[in-house]
Amino acid sequence: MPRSALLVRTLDVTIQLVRWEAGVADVEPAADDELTFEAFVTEHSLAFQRFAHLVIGNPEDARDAVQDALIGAYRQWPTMRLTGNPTGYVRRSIVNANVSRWRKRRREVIVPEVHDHAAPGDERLFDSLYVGSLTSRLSSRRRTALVLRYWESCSYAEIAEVLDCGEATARSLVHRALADLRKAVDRGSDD
Amino acid sequence: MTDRDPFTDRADLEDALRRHFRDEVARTDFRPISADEIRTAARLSTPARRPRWLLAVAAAVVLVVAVVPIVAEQLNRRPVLAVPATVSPTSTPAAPGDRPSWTPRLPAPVDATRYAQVAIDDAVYLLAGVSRQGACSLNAYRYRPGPDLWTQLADGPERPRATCDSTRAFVSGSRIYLTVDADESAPPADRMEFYSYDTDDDEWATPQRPAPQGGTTCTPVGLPSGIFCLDDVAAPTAAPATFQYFDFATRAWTPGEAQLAGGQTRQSVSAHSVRVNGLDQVVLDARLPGGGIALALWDPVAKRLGEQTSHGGTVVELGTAQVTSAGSVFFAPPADPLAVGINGNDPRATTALLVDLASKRWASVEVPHPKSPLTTATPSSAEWALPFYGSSAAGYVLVNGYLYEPGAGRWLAVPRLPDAETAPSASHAWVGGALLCRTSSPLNCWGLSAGPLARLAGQIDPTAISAGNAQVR
Repeated sequence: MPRSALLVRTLDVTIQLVRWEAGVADVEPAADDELTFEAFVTEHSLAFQRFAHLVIGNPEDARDAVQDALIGAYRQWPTMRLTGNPTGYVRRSIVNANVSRWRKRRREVIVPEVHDHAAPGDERLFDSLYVGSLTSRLSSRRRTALVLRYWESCSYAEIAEVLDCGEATARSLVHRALADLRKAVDRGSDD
Repeated sequence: MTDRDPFTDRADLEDALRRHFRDEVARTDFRPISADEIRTAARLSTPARRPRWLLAVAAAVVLVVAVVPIVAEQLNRRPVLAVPATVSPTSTPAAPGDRPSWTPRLPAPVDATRYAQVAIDDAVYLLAGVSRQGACSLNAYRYRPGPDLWTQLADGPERPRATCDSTRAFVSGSRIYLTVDADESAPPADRMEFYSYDTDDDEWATPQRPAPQGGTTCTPVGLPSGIFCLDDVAAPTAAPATFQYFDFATRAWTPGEAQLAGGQTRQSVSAHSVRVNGLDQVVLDARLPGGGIALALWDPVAKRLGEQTSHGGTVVELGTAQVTSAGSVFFAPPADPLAVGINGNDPRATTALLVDLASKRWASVEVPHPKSPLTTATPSSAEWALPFYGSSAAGYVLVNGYLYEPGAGRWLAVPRLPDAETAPSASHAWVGGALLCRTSSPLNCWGLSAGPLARLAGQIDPTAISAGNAQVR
């Protein structure tokens, strides 16, 4: 990172910390903010739940994650709607919530067996349950990258923003996830 | 190793994923969330406050993270002798902070001149070396500047024959494509082999190869959406230039052709990828008899050739087109003015052409003439690196010491490449066209040199290679 960018980033982070500590980062939304927030929630709440469901894997946790993310967005709405990317923020919060959830519950998580299917080779790809059992075995980050790419039709730049990584890393995550799936399918074909 | 190319054989997986996501969502009943629910929940819950000391710790950590690399960089910076800029009517003195510097790097494990070379981000790749005896195998090496490290990469698939004429590499995304032109002993239909190397997975593949229409080989250009391959056809000719385009979306090669306006004869034609008005395109560069240049953009989305723009040229033979990510093309003056019938004092010997492809505006640019200590009557000698140009997002680089920024219309003095001028043997020369510059800021160029580099690294085989790095910060 160039020195100038590093210094700007340092100042930016410090200012954010001071604002947060002083309690000015979360401000109460004004009346017109309420209206735009209402429209935002109405328009996106179902889409966010679908995304969260695909990332997290069950609809109840997905709904909780979306609610938490929207509460966070509501608290920062006045500044977010003007300068930020509310959709990206909510997606990012959902992804982070999934990571936290996974960390808390990892001892309980049982990696599902690959769904058995009688069809040979690549024909298995037409069985959604089979594909679902393969994707559930991917790491959370790779699975999320696939959902963003093939469900949300995000660009790599958008995926990078949600996953808080570089564009090349986002591209690599998608690529590697596809490679993992391909290997799993090929292994299945060899059985 | 797999024969599957992710660019060409992953559509089935992608479709399966889309189907699965659609089915998964359709199986579940989602209820809308109201803004009132969120407002109520927000008022009931208050965000947890972090202890105040956390602020101090976080700020200290951030400051340390920001300051330590800067201090370390200052301490580690090695001074490199800079050559003062020669005066030219268009040159502006560079600010001290703008000066790039060259630093010697670890010699390459192989003779880089015998390999196809590409740069992706900060890494330099050497692929498919051809030995002096013509033996040709799919091996690869990567140089990363951070750790100053060369790494041997996975070997490619077995080739159908042991020898070849040449290898050429180009990039599309994180994948390097490689064409191997077989020698005359190969049947015409097999004269061109086509491979790809995935830099993410360190894996080779054998994608569908192009089928040149007018000859046996074609010269490929990588685009984000596909591969453009211009057929290698003998010139001069007035016949249309033929090419093929492999569209990653349709996964098929389709032929096309480009005709010069008025059916003019061309001496040669070449293709380069360029980004103009936010669209990745191919610029076709046709050279006309008498030194004229005709350019046209080919749009891979519309599969259409744009309007031609022409210039009469300055001399018979201007240099190869150098394209930047800013959408302009630079044509350097001839490497050897005497060879095209003008002496070194003729203004045409130092006049380059520059064209902005979006506006189709042409301009003349005076190249700083290397006077003392680089004055030489034989520009092709080892001490004159003027023929070797590179392009980058920032501008155009003359290896021997100048960087031209079209936006600012000025030349910046660059320190001479170490050793290139001082090596006692004329065999030490910078590799033609091997000044690789990344196409994003900051400018970072790699000069791969061949020759005796004893001063750099002790006992080195005379064929060993060294990499140099110029950084403009």
